[in-house]
Amino acid sequence: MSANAAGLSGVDTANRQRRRIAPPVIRGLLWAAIGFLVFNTLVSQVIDRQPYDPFVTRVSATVGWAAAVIGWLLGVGAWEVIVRPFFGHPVEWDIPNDWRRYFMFSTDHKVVGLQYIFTTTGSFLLAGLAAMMMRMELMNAKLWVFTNPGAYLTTVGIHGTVMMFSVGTVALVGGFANYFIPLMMGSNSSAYPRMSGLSHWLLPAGIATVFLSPLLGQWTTGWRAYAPLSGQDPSGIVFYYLGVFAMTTSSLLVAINLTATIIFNRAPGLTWNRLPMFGWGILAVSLLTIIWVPEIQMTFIISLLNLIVPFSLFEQTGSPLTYMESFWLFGHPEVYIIVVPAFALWQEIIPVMGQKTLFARQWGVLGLVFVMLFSGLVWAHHMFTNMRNSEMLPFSFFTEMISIPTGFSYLVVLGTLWGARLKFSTPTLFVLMSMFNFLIGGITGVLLADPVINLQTHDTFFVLSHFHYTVIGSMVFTWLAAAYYWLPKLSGRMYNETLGKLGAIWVFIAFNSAFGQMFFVGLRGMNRWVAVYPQYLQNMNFSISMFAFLLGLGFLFNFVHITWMWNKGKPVGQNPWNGKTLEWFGTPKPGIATFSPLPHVETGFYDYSENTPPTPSPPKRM
Amino acid sequence: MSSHNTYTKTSLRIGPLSERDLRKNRFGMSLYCISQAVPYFLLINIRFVIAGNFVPVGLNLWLGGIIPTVALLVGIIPLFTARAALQKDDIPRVRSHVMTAMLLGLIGLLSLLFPLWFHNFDALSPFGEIDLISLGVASFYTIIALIVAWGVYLRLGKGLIRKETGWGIEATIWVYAFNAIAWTALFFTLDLL
Amino acid sequence: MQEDSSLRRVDPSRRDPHWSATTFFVVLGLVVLISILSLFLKRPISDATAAMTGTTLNEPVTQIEQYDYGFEPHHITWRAGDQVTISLHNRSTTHWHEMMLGRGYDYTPSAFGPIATQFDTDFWNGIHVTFSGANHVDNLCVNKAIAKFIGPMPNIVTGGNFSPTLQPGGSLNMTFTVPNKPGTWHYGCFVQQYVHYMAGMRGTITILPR
Ligand code: HEM
Ligand SMILES: [Cu+2]
Ligand SMILES: [Cu+2]
Repeated sequence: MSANAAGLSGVDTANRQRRRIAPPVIRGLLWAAIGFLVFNTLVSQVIDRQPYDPFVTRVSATVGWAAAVIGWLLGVGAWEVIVRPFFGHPVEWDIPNDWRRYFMFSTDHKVVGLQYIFTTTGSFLLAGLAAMMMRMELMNAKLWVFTNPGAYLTTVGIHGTVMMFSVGTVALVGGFANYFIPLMMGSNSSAYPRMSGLSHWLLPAGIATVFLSPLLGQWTTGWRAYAPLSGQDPSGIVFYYLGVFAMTTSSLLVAINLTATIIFNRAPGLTWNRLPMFGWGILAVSLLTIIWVPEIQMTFIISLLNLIVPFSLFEQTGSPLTYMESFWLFGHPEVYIIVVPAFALWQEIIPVMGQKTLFARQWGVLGLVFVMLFSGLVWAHHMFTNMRNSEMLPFSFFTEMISIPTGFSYLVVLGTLWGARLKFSTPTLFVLMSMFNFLIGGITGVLLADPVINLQTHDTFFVLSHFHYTVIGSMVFTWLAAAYYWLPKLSGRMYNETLGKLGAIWVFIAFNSAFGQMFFVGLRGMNRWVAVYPQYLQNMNFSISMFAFLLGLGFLFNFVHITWMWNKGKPVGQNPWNGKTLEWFGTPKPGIATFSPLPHVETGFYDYSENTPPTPSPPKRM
Repeated sequence: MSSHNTYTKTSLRIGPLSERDLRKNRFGMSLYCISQAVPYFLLINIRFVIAGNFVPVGLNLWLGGIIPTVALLVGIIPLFTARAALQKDDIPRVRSHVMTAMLLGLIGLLSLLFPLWFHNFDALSPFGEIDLISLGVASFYTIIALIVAWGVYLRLGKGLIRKETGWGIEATIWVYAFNAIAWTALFFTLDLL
Repeated sequence: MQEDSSLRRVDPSRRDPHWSATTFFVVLGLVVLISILSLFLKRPISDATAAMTGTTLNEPVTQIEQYDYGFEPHHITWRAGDQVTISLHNRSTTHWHEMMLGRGYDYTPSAFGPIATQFDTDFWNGIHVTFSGANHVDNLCVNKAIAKFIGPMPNIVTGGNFSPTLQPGGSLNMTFTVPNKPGTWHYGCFVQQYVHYMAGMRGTITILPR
């Protein structure tokens, strides 16, 4: 049905005289380079000359960057697929039916999903490498890896930014949801495939921008870009703002696309009552994204203008607190953008692995929705050090209240586990570990919501460990669970159960040993954002670093295992876990329609009781 | 029809949208409007936090104010009449109305850009900074609206938009009207309140 | 949206979509390599280019804002030999402010005891300063600095230490190479019978040796 199928027949039989196109990615890089050079030169040499005539100024870098990103997007294929048709030219974009499809503009949701999966994994490894460098530095109380504290802080900022905006926000949504949500909805496409194709290519542009930010100079603010500090550094922060803009735009487009997919592309019979839990989770985070991402984008644009015009809205003479508030208004919902899909996946995987009906499904949905609603009410718990005592109470209260809908997610899974003959596979193991880790993250979160404790532990490794328990401990662990769970669907092959379990236990032990100790080192006085610290903390930091390296290797082990099995694993059938959601009933091959004809849904997906009274007939879904 | 068919041979023929696809597209546009309204809320919010109700004496209410507001709001009308003309398949008329909307949008854009350069209030003051950013934001979205209208205008010229396939015109109305209304709200709260 | 009426397709295609894998991997590899090199070897590379072309590297701008009655920031660190641009901006809507830089004080006796009127040693003596972007500069006294002007010419006066005085909202950029005068220096605004200085309109600069 797709481009490839249609294009293919022509391609192979075709005459060889046809002109070969340039590799789209290379064309994108070329157009980006030209765009940057032309516009940067125009601004720095003609329009806005500065004393001493520097070739790259903050303003010229910003304008040049915008041109470069547009050049990149057009180059990878937006020129043929979006711009020319928009002005009335016919589409001329064939996609070969081989690996090349992953390196060019594609409208196939499976290809886009895989592109996102590759890109997030790559950025996870790179940002993880940055974390390893940081841990290396912290093995010693003195400076020894980095030559100056600013270089360390820049690394912290790059690590945090890429992990948040390209892994945390994207891995489960842009990656797995782009691939699986249309399948789960019983559809052959996402709602707006052209937009979806565009969205992926913004992500590598953003990642590269953030990683190359040191070319413009150091920045010491970390991923939150606090003003007025952001205005006092050299110019690297300019690329932080621009890179984050590209990455968040990518997430925004994904959110719009998936929301519409869930609402409009459901197969006949897939009513709201039957919507899979992952669908609910993605719907909830998409709404959060649609509201809060534009908010932070505007804040960052103002902050960027602050720097390059320059204004001083958020500077010392303006209102730095306004920046903080605007940041955390987005910042807290962001953590739920990261973790809600993980909750939803627990509820997706456990009933399948236990072959048992999902317990209290409607409470699970309510939990996801209320977590989403509450997340906008709690932002100021990040700012207890900046407010009056009387203002703390409501924020402390709402923050602790969030544990109630979060608790629903736990109870739904626990209720499903109760009495189930659980298949103890690698995905199960990862989900249970993820639940354990989030429990620790959640309990320390409740502690931190208490102003008394918060004021003591603010900006220490206690906080750092708390949120790594939520982002690595639950989101990354669930990401791995999903990777193992869906590997048979993605590749038609099965991973190796022993190696899978080994990988799970490896990262679990390494993670808890490293980050568990961080709570204590934090309580003993280890601050965040320091490359140099008092001698008495060195022993513990050394031990943390060792486990952190072990953790890094553990992740590597899992990725290598998955990649290996993707190509060489034992082939398995359609539905090895006996799942009931629709993705298990199609053969998703990139470039080919998954369902034809479209499935018709007749029962819910979580019903495993033998003698279901209302619809006893076996659901025919194909 | 599944949208994935965009590249198959069947899509060589331009088909009308199904009722469901039409609803889906409208839904997408409303998500666009909802998400892009948020920056405007933020700007208004920050203005009150940083500058209070202060409005400088030197502020020119016409340029970067009443003129673009009127031009953009009035510009919505010819788009609606264009859509009505499309129902009668009167393509030349549709084009001329889209062109009218574009001209009005251009007037609005120029009047927004003008005070970005020439303004008789202190640009580097809390009010001035927010006001200039607002003008910049409004110019940006006006440019977007103009590009959308321009694409439709060209496609009309190539005979690609007809009575049954009129989504392009409707999309233009969404984008154009969003920009006009959001700017009006911004202008009202920033300069008049 | 994707169902747009414009989507027609040329068929059969005039172009072969099987782009060259070699070009792809070679160019991509090169780009990645160059990125990594420029990221980690930025300093040596830029030092070498600067040495070859005989230019100095531009260092960041120091934004200094004046308000009633203070400077933001009120502490700055520079390294001798760096090229620095001070971008001075008067945020006050009502008051004229200046900026002097120096060490030690000239005192004048008063009923309240001696009052500092300006610095004893003028930091700017003998320094080449390029002024640019002058906007609402009330007057500029360059004293013993060696001045060069780009763009609008401010109103030059003589007498007293090096000092630009800005009108409300005014701004001025001063670009220079930090001289080898390490240690602590002070800056301040002494206008209106020194009350700005006494009210706290002052700051310190640490100059690190080369
Ligand atoms: C691979 C294992 C990881 C290790 C060993 C690690 C370690 C660290 C360290 C040492 C810091 C900075 C400490 C300081 O403040 O000086 C840090 C900061 C941070 N990390 Fe990680 N991290 C890992 C994975 C992740 C992941 C998966 C995420 C999110 C998805 C993440 C998000 C962050 C954030 C947001 C910061 C704060 C950056 C800032 O302060 O601006 N990290 N991490
Ligand atoms: Cu929070
Ligand atoms: Cu003064």
